[in-house]
Amino acid sequence: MAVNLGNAFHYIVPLAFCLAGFHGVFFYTNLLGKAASWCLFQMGLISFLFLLAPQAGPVPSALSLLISAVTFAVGIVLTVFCLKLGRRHKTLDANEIAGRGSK
Amino acid sequence: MNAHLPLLMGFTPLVGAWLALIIGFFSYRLSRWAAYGALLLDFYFISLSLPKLFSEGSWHYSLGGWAPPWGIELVVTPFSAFLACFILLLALAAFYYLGSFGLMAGLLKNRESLGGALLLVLVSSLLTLLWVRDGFTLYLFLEISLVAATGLLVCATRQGWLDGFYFLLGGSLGASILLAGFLFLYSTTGTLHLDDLLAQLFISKNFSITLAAGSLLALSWACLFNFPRPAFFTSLLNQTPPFLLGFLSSVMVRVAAYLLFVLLFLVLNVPGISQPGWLVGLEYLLAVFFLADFIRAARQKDFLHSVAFLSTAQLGFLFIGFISGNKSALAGTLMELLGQMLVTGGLFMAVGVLSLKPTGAHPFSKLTGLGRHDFWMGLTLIVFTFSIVGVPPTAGFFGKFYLLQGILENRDWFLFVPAALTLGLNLYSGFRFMWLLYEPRKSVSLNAHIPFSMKAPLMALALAVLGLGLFHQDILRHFIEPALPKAYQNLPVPNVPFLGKQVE
Repeated sequence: MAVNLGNAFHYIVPLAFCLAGFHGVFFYTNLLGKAASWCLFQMGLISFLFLLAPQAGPVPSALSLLISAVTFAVGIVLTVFCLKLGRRHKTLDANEIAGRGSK
Repeated sequence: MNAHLPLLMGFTPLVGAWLALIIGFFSYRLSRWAAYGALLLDFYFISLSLPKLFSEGSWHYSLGGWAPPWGIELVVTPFSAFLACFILLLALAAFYYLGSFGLMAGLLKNRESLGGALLLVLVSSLLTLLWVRDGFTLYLFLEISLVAATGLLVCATRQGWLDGFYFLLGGSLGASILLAGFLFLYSTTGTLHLDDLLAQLFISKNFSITLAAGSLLALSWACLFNFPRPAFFTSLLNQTPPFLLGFLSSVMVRVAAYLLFVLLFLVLNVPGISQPGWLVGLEYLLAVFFLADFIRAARQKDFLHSVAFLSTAQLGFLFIGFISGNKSALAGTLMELLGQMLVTGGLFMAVGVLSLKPTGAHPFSKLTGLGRHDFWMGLTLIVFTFSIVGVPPTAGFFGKFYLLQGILENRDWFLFVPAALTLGLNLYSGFRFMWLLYEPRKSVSLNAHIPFSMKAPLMALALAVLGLGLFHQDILRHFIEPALPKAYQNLPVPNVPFLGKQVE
């Protein structure tokens, strides 16, 4: 199976964002860090669309706007959750909160 | 009005949600009736659409006449309309239990009406997920359904903020991976429309792109398919009211499984591509991983945890059908999917009805002698158990029958052996459960009488499980067969004149 490495270099920024975001969601213990990592993943998708935009007309630009709106809305909801948990537990460390919850 | 039925079918619960929320500020009782009214009205709209669906097949409806991604195209098929009826039936049952749970758990009335509104938003987004035909709208409504489900979890659970956060984050990451898969396909085909994608991939015959996108589209459901596996959702499982767990695991997870079927077979045309050996091996392992949950379910001492394992374990049968991929196996998978929705929802709701507390432990010992003490409750549980075990004439029997037929047609012994072993184990576990229900001695906690009003929704679900089995021939002919890939439908292929010659 032939793989075009040129594509991998062209889309290196979206790939880096998506990988960093995916890694962060699983490996950060801070809840706000997890939420920010998901936003980073979404940023990767948006930057991928920006790279596509010159060749593909107005659709990728419109999609990137819509994805930004969804990211903003869900990001706000996740932040509200973090604020609520932070106020209740005085920390945003997931392990610490889970430990307190199980006691 | 009839011309806009697909729109009305999708968005009636959404309008009902706003109504229920606004009316809830003035009268909680009226708010409840508004929510019931929206769900029943949606049933009515779906019933109105059935004659046209039977006579003309799929119903294509474009919102405002715009093409995606600017506009939304809805395609209602007989199977998706039938599946929508099941979603509404389970939503009615869940909404009914929300009221009694509110009383039992001391839930504030304004939280109850907010919960009702969120349930309606969730129903509306799930129904729309069944009918949208472009990748971006699918992602959008998946996100809406995740936010609504998280809101519902937080609304009905006192300490559910952390679990709600994880559910939303995991689900949203899955949705993002789904979107990544669609964007990947978009970059190579220039379209997001699902039917168009099928055509473009068929023309380009670019199998490596199809496999890569397929892997992303399948991976995206990982979080939902593992809900509510006790290993990942322990705290959520112990704190969330069982009726809500039942609604989410039966409706949301099974809708995700149906969407995976649509993506694999109606968009990527998986049977038409040759897969590398490592991927096939991985698929087999995945099916066995989920089937292994039947062993874990049998070893549980807590009824709720056992039902949670059963919920995820039954997905193994669906994956077996997807892997087999022939007509019998896919027909069995869709039949099994319908049965699983009712059984999973019913069992979770039964846990809630049988427990004296809204949350906490639900040991099996409390069920000792239940069948002798409460005949109808015992019978309802037996019907659900028989469907999981695969005893005729339940829906589960016919689903598994066609599934095994598909495996044997392929002579795939690597799938047949785990499936047969699982059925054997389930037979043993099912009879052990029946023995517990009809033991002569009685649990002390069974002295409390279960009112008929609490049992009625469960009995309706059990009746539906029996109805699916008894009328399986009609369901296969009218709903399931038209939902299969075109190659498996007994359609006369028209001769299309091309360059003066008749070609197929």
